[in-house]
Amino acid sequence: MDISKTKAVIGEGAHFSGTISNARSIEINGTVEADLEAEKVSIGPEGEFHGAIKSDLVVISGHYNGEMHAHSVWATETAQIAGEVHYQSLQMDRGAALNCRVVHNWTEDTGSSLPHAESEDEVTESADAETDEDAK
Amino acid sequence: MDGSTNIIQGMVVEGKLDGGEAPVVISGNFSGELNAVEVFLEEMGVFKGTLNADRVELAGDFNGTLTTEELSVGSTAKVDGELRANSLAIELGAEVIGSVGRKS
Amino acid sequence: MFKNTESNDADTQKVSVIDDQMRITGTVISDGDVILAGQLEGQIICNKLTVEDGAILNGSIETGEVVISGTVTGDVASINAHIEASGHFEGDLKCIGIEVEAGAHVVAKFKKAPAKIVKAAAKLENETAE
Repeated sequence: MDISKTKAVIGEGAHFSGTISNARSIEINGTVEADLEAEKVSIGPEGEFHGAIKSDLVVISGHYNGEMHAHSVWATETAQIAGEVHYQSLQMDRGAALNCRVVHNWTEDTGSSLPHAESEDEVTESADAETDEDAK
Repeated sequence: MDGSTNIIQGMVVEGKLDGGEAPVVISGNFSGELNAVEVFLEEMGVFKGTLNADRVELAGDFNGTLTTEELSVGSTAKVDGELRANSLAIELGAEVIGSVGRKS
Repeated sequence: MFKNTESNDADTQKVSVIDDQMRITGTVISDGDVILAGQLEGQIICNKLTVEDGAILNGSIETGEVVISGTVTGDVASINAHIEASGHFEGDLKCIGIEVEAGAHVVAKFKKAPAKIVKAAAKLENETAE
């Protein structure tokens, strides 16, 4: 098989439910119900993730529903996020749909701890983006 | 990109996976149930559980029950379990314990 | 591909042929090689056994090497076993090396090779190392 395939991927059309561990960088293009701890998680436009994510970086272009704890979160124009997102740094592109609770300055440790003295918000919002801080 | 599911070396995946139409390549650790069209268990890959597919190539560790149309067991494979295949090929060097029969 | 340490020439190795007209019931023992083209109901112990396409064996096989292109029902204890595409095997395989060609019909239980076979394999490896 192609050795250059060094990226962990749940392919489009695939369905997984269970647990995933020890994935440093993973791309989700299918449907996943799991709890995931990683360094980088990328949810593609066709991807659907239900469950908890603990990661340094999360890029969302598809669906996410669950409790997310990440250092950096980037919701692209096709992102649809429900649940709860705890972040240090959040970027939302125009078109991203957030229907979740968004919490800055989460204190939990995934190994990339940053002092919360830096509580300066790094939220970049575009005009049409919706930030719905609904308490559920 | 071909849309295949790639469980890379180091990853530990437990649960139920349906690969959809694309191939599933396992170089990491999978335990549970796998249903797919085509499965490649690479040399470093470890599979424990139930596997249902149309085509399977084993080069790694397999422990469990395997049901498929076409099965190819490579020389680096270590197999312990029940294999059901309509077409079977085993390369010299493969370690096989268990049973093999036809799919149906 | 597994290479037999001894060539199959009639000069250097004794080869017995059970031709396609023959039907044997009983035990066949040879220190050399046997080619089975006919039918055997019983046990065969030899160095290298070739079960030809069309041959039928019901019973057990104890060999250093066996190549199955015909029909074998029974147990095989061998250092190496090769089941060719035309082969039809049902039984137990207690071998160290197993090779199956796509197309073969195989319904088998794979078990650990008996101590006798393991010893023979080790001896063969030492001999070829010299």
